[in-house]
Amino acid sequence: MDKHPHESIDTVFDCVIPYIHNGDDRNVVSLVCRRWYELDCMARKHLTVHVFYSLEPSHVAQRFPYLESLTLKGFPREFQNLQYIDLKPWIKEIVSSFKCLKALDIRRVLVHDSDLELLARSRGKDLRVLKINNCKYRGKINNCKYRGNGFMHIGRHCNNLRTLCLEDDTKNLKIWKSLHELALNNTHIESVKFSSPISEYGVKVLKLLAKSCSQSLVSLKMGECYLSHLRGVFKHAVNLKDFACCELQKVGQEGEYVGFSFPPNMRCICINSIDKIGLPFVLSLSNQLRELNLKHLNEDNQCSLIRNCPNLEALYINDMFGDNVLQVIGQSCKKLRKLKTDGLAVTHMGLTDLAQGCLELECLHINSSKHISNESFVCIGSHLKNLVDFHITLHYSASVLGSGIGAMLIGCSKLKRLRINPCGGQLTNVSLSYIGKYGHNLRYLSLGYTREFEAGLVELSKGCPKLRKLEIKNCASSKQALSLL
Amino acid sequence: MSTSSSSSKKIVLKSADNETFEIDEIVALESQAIKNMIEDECADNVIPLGNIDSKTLSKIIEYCKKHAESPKKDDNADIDEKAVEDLKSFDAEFAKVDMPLIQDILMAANFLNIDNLIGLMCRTIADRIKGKTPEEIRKILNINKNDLLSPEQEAKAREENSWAFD
Repeated sequence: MDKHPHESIDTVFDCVIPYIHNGDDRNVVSLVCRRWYELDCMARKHLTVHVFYSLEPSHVAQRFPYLESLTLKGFPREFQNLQYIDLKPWIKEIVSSFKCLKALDIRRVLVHDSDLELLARSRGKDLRVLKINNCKYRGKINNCKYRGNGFMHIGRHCNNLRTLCLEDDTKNLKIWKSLHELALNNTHIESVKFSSPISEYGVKVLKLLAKSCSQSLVSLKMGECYLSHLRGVFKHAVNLKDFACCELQKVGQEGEYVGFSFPPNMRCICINSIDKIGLPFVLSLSNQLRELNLKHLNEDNQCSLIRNCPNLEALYINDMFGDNVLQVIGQSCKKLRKLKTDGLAVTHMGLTDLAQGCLELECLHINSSKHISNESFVCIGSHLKNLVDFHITLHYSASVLGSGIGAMLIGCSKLKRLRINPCGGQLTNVSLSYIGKYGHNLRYLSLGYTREFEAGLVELSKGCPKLRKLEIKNCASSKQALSLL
Repeated sequence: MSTSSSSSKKIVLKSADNETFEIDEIVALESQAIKNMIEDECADNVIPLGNIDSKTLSKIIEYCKKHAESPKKDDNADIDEKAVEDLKSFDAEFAKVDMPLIQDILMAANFLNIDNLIGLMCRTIADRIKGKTPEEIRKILNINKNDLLSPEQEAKAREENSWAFD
């Protein structure tokens, strides 16, 4: 056989490229040779662009004309007060290019009503996914009062939309116009997410939406509401699987839940501060649940619910119940992949029980811990082989973290995100040199409350080749050390 | 399923270097291209494969034989897990060959239209280049210097890439 004539090489490349999905790898692939650059340009389906770099939208459109999904991000949350970048040039480009675009996700940028209207009118029919998160909004003409009319146009024109996400920290987005129009014009919405609190009118709109899209609606995530008010919504949304809301605190009364039940196929229930009367409705579905948020439940209720949920893959808990709860999780939730705790007073004991029980964990956030030692980190390293994302806040720990961090990084070779928030001197130059030495895969590293990092930073800068974001709080290092990074 | 009984129909494949391989028809049918030829009755006793050498062809026959012998998923809904695991570990062992042979197998599988094998070879190549630098990938795949981007083109692409990441 001829040793790889040119055409055959192309065949090999053509076949292989679709098997490389990760954005970083695709970026590398584009640099390998001319043919791969061209193939990648034609074949790239998804792209994330950080718009605070002055990349011309038209360049992106020329290089990747067949993008199906585009994510545009503004400044990171930490710098959000600085500036919101105007998305107008991108909207103009999206309207005229990117003919295959089906999904648009924009975060932390400045959006005008007129941009949303233009987008909805010109590309609304093509869009399947639209996510607008934590943006700043302006009215139609510069700086005129924002009225939310852009949202109305989205609801009216995007009638092939499957996923709509409108999230905002201020919680006062004028989204009801949009959802009302959507309910009138769209019969196949699958997923809706928004953060606005739900008024009486909001409940009516949601009920209308659930009725129009009763077969397709599988995910509904929203802001504050009374669970019992959603009776009518749940009656229509027969295929709903995921539900999240922030329940308003109040004194519940027995009568309120008459006729209430969750749809039969629920897999994910995230309710901040569910009341005692609502709890049995969750308990009745416990065996089928994959994701659960149990914030603001007391310890007994938390433990009994968790024991009944053997199939959980994601769990969010808070309050101060500590090791007991972690022990129950380790015994009961063998399939758990994600655990985020808030205000949980965990010690080495609880962490060990958890790590030995939940071997599938990929994401672990422990927001309050005491007496955590190097051994705790060693234990994580030897059990949690799939860990990608680890956050821990340390309180009352005397020991300096060093070899334990090294052992964890060796054991958890997939770890990409690491945040350690110490209360005192647990992080030293030694800790940093271990992170530099073994953090081959780290993309994000955050180290709070640290001192005297000069030598550590030098060591860190020699390693961590894939690091993209480094946060160091309260650090007294010199500019010289920082410049090495 | 008996594949080696003397009564089953035989097909002969001839490689580019004139070596012949007699195999059961059921094994040959793993290739959609050969299957089409047989169904259209345009396959003589010997099927010449002028662009596949004997080393590559014997590997491909090894693969097709194993896969033809394994129970198919659609034959039986509750196929035993052991057979699936067995095939998985066969595939994993099969792919442990050097890059030039993998590329030859991929091209031949592409020509013979053997879907599973194309997938296996693509995954293998993809796994070997994931997480690598462009320079390392060029070395792994033995890419010709004349095929590279110009330094200016590469610099521009690199700059654009640094603004676009997940």
